[in-house]
Amino acid sequence: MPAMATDEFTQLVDAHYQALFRFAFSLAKNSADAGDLTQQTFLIWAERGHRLRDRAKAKTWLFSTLYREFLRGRRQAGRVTAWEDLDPQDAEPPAVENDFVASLDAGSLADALQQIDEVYRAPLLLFCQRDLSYKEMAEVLDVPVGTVMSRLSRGKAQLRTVLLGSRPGGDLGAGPGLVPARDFS
Amino acid sequence: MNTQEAKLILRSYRPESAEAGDAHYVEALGMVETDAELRAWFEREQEFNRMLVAGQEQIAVPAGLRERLLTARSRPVWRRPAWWGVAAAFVVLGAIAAVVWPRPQQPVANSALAAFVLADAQHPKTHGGHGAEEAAFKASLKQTTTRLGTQSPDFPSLRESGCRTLQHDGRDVLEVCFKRNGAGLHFYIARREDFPALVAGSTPVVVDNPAGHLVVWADQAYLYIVVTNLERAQLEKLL
Repeated sequence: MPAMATDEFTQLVDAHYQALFRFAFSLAKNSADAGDLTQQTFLIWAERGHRLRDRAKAKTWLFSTLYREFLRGRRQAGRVTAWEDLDPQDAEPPAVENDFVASLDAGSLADALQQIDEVYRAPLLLFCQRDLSYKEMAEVLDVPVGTVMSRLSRGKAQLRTVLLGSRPGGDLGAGPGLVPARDFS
Repeated sequence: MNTQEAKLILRSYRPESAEAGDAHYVEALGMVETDAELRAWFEREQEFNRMLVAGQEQIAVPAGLRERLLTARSRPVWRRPAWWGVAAAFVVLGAIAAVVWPRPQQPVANSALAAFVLADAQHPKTHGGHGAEEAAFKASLKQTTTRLGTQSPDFPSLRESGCRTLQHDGRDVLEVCFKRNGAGLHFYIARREDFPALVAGSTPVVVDNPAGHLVVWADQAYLYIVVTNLERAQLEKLL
């Protein structure tokens, strides 16, 4: 293994592995699968990364690869969300008190994210990567920028709805457009 | 741009992003400055975004993951799980190829089996079989009208009833001696399934050999070899 390539690989791991793991964790819902997805992503980079001429796009490449690997695993497990069947949710999302959101720990927020339709969850997670532009998010998800925007908007609305339902005194069974529970087991 | 359109745009606004200065954001932000209700909504929205990001960043990354990633990269490719599937595919393809791949085939006349029966035919005094089946087959072979290439002997019955049975390479080879035109002939029968690499046509073919003529042919189930010192012209008339 050439020393330069090793150094570049190490730098790439150091720069992105935590963000990739968190993205994977929120997609896959468990640490073991997230670790495997992250590892698989870097292994693919080790084998094919040299083909990427614009090294500035390495982060987008890594997120795209991880997301594709996640979707591939989902397809193999026969758990693909039928995106076209999702109900549109264009109505004004319910307001959730920010104090309540601030009181949530990472686990609670991750659980809430898991209840969001997968098609909306991925843009929401990429949204948290502040240095990824919408154009890059669109490349990761392989959809137009406008689609990223609309899915992000709906994802936030669904997250608010879920949080509203999980709030003490919240009613999961009520409320229009409530996200149905999904079987991710 | 109305308030609803401004909200739609501002939901994706990230002040620290490279797109923050895009024209549609600038226009929507301009409305925030003049609309108190929109400003209150926008502040809540931005706070929600910050909490969402903070929540994501709270997800604990497992200790040792970095080392695992760096170690995995230096692992040989054949030890990576992705390659196990490739290896398994090769094993399956190899197994299929072993079944369907054409095996090298060899003419009976040039085979070790032919050499074996030629050597055996040099020692006729050691030959001898018994049993009704063999006697009937031998009687048929002796008939002057019998064409050797038309015979369909019953291999299992011959062997069970006492026909001379040799072993070549662990497989049974039957032998029946008889005379035609005053010369000795040795009729050998082997199962094709015991010698799958050997090929012969259905029409008897005479092959000259210093140790005697060989006549070779086969049907669906059996290989036949006749060894004799009979002159070739006479031999061909028996076929």
